Amino acid sequence: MKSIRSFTAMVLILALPAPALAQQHGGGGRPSGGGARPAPQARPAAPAQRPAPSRPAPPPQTRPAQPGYSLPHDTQRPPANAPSRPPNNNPGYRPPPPPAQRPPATRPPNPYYRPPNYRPTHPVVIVNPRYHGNPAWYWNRGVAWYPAPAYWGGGFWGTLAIAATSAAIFGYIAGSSGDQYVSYQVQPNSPGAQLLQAYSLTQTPCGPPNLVVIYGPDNSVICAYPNNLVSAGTYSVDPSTLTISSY
Amino acid sequence: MDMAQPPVAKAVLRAILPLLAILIFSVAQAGATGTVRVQQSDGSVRTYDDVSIRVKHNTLRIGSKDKKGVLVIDRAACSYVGELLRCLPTSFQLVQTGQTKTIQLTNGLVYLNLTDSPQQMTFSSKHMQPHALMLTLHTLRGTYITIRGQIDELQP
Repeated sequence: MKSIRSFTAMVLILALPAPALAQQHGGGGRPSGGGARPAPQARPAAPAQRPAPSRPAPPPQTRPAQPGYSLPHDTQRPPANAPSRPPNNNPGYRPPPPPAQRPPATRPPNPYYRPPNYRPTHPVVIVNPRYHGNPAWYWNRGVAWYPAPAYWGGGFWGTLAIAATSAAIFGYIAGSSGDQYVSYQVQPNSPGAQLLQAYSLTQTPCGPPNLVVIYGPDNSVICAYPNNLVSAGTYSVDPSTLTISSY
Repeated sequence: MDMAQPPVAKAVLRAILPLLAILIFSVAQAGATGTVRVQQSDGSVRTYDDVSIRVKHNTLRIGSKDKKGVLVIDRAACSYVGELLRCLPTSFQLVQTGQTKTIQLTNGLVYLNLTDSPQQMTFSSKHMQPHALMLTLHTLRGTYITIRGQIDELQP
């Protein structure tokens, strides 16, 4: 029993100062390179442990009033009788922008291009010269890429949805039912830019004939000049392998 | 004498385990130093300090200091920009008081530095520290949520 007591006392001595030590050293479990975090003393401590006169009053809006997070506007459902209307008692409410802020299509459809929902019976896969033979998502370092609905092309060609109206328009493509798809400039460092680079393709505005037309996620489309790897025609993209297949 | 060892060992284990749990819990608490800033559409601002940032099972989980609420991003379109992982979150939830509530997003952007060295941000003079996270969300109801901090736990 004596050995248990002494061992317990030793563990207690080790355990109790741990938080204090960890706070003094900026959080014990952190990687060595993470030294740019603000110093722990910058964070306000418990008010009850500090003398009131020597400390300025904290900003009234910075203290959470309820456990966890408070997101009342986002978690409360609107009334059932007016599901889409903003609340009348909220003067600061601004209606969200419409999801599609693309400029209206003005060019006539070009019959050269096939519709994006067209599926060939015998697609021809053009292997990606850079990522061929590697497992899926290798091009994204093993991280599965998912299309983001809020962005044009799911973000495959870049983050264009926020400033879709200011993004460079790269021509138009005719859809199956006579509607048109706007093509935008591929953003650097996007998955689509990696695709073009892997196939040594250079983007060009859609419209003229004899181009490489690549349909990406979310009915997106871009065009490029043909080269020795990819001939003129219509292609679809497999994002997992960053491979294109001819229609 | 040998017969007395197993009960002693059991007693030692009983004494150690709770204390060890306290020790681990204390160190883990001290490591959570992320900050969440929530600006509602009416202009009110709340800041939550010492939140925990965990990347677990392909989700990003931001736990409040009092462990009552967790902000979860469970779906995002991710790609790399240089050495930085950039994700466009598509699904965002608040798990709190036993309920999971989906928060509709207008747009958002997450930057993660999963490397062990500082990384230069594209089109910026700023560096991201190792294992750092920067997140900005704009919800359909007009709430801006920004999160900064360092990843406390990373599990594949």
